[in-house]
Amino acid sequence: MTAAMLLELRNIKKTYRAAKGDVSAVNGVSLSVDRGQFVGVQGPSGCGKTTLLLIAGGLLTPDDGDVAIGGQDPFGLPADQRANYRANNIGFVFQQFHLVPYLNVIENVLAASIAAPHAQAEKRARELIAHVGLESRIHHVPAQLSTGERQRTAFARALLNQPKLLLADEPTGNLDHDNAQAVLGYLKEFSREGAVLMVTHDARAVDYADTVAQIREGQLLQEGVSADTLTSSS
Amino acid sequence: MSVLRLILREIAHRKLNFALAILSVSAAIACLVGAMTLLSAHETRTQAILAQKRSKTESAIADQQAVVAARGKELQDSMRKITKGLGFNILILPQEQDLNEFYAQGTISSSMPEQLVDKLANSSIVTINHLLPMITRKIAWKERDQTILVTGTRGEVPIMHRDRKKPLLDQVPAGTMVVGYQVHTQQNLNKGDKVTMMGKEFTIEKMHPERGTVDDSTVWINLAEAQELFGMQNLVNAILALECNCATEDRVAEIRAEIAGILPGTQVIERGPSALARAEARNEAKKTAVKALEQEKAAARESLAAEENYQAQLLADLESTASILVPVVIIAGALGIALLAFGNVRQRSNEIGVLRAIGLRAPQILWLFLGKALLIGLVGAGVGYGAGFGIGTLWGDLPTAAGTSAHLFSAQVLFLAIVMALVLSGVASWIPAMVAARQDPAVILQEE
Repeated sequence: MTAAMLLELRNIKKTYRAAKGDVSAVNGVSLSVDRGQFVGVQGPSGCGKTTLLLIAGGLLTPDDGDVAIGGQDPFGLPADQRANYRANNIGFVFQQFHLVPYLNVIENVLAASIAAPHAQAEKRARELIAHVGLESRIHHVPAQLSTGERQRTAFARALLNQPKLLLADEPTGNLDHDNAQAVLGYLKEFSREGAVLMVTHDARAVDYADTVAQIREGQLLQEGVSADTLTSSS
Repeated sequence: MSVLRLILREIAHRKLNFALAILSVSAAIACLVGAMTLLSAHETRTQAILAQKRSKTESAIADQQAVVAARGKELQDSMRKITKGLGFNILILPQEQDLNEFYAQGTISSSMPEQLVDKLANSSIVTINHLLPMITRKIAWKERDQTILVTGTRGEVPIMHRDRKKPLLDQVPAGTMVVGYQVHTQQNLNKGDKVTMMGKEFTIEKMHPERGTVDDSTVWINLAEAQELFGMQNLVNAILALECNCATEDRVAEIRAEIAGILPGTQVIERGPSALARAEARNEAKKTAVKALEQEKAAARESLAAEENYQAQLLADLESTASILVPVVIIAGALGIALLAFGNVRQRSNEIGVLRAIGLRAPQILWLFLGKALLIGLVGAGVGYGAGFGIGTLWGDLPTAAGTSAHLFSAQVLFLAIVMALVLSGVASWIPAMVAARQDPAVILQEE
């Protein structure tokens, strides 16, 4: 792992056990994301994109393979330390936004500070909200926001603790063109300082990525991808 | 932002869930507090009822005691009157005196030393009063041609260890004579008249009205003069006495026993049984009153015991009902809280997943639910205590005499209610909170 490398996945495998037969969600994927890089992983629904992202975020333990985030294996840490590491180093953006329905915009953004409290949290939250253009909606709850506003709120929450790595799961999946462009712009902007790994089936999204990997049935394909950023062991 | 703020915002958002949980805790605590307040009110009411009953009983006993005292006083008065009316009803005679002679002829031929009366007066005798030494002799009053009974007395000898009492009979002064009814009517005597008896002159000092007894044919003279007339210096035939108002079971036997100890060689007889029978009747009346008092006391004790038993039975019934109802309601409350908490966890699974994803640790998720449970417990304790206290006070049916319901308030019960509510809510929410804390965020986030 190089000094610039923020995320490294090596030969990751994950199989879901089911009564009707095992399902191999990720099968031998290797991938790395450097600081300043925006990596997109594109593929159809059910190809293992979200599984790969959850493994990369330290939320889902792989059956096999190695994960290193900033040189640290998150699965080598106890659960509470892993959560703490996640809070301080990784931001998440989901297709469904996953905002807390009873918190307003600023409270939703500040929810990230419960896990990693810091003195400047509210100031930074206001700056982020202003940055995504939601100053006038600061006291509105999610139900009073448009889908684009909800995703921008989720984006601000993901950045509150100044993560090194941003993981985005279909961030534009529920957005119209303009809002999708805006969110992708924010991700692109973040990738200049940190690193972004985005999984999506949206063809528009890949235009913003520095490199794009295609994933099919749990395996990365060689076509159309940079040899530096992705490999497949299959 | 903090876990507490998150809890408060969630409560504000899901008011119905919070209200239902409060209702569950409140119902359980209200039942507990209500039962305890009811039991306390019952205890207060019981004490008031028993106190009222005791008061009534004491009043009835006091009335009965007053009746007994009145009967006793009546008896005493009666005895005093009877014994006084009887005059000297105890007769102390020489041991050798033939009682047949006394009863058949009304005369006493035996004599005893006069000093015996002083011995008796200086003793500690208690069964008799009013000692009167006397000489009595039936004579034919030759100067007046009439058979009479002559009694010589020196006046009452005071019993030294007792307070002086007004004498029943005044001393007959020397040279004077007191005459009975038959004597003064047959001889046509008047007070101040001079008469001669056995060659000695006497002035009529006093004339008795008709008594219907041997007194009507009796004349009384001074003892010393009688002793001289009959040649009985320093001797007496009898000592008269008045039995005391001792109201004992067997007066005469007691008098005889006491006198025998002081004056051996004497015998004692009692006169006037019919009058004493009336005293006995009064004595029986007193005994009846005393018996009635005892019965009243026994009835009061039984009544109080019955009331205590009744109240104890009521208390046992209440405790029995409470011992079933309270646990059932508490368990139902706990189930209600647990179900609501499970529902809340299920409803918030996405929220839990994303909070875990952004770094909240399992203990923080646990406290997110347990903190809410403790708030529910605190509020539920307050509401439940108020409701339970109100119900207990209203249903407690406190008597007016017991005062206001304020004294039913117990800080200990309030403390117990708070602890119980916190434990109830905390325990019931523990498993749902653990389920929430152990939820795998990856599973939740994959479900979208």
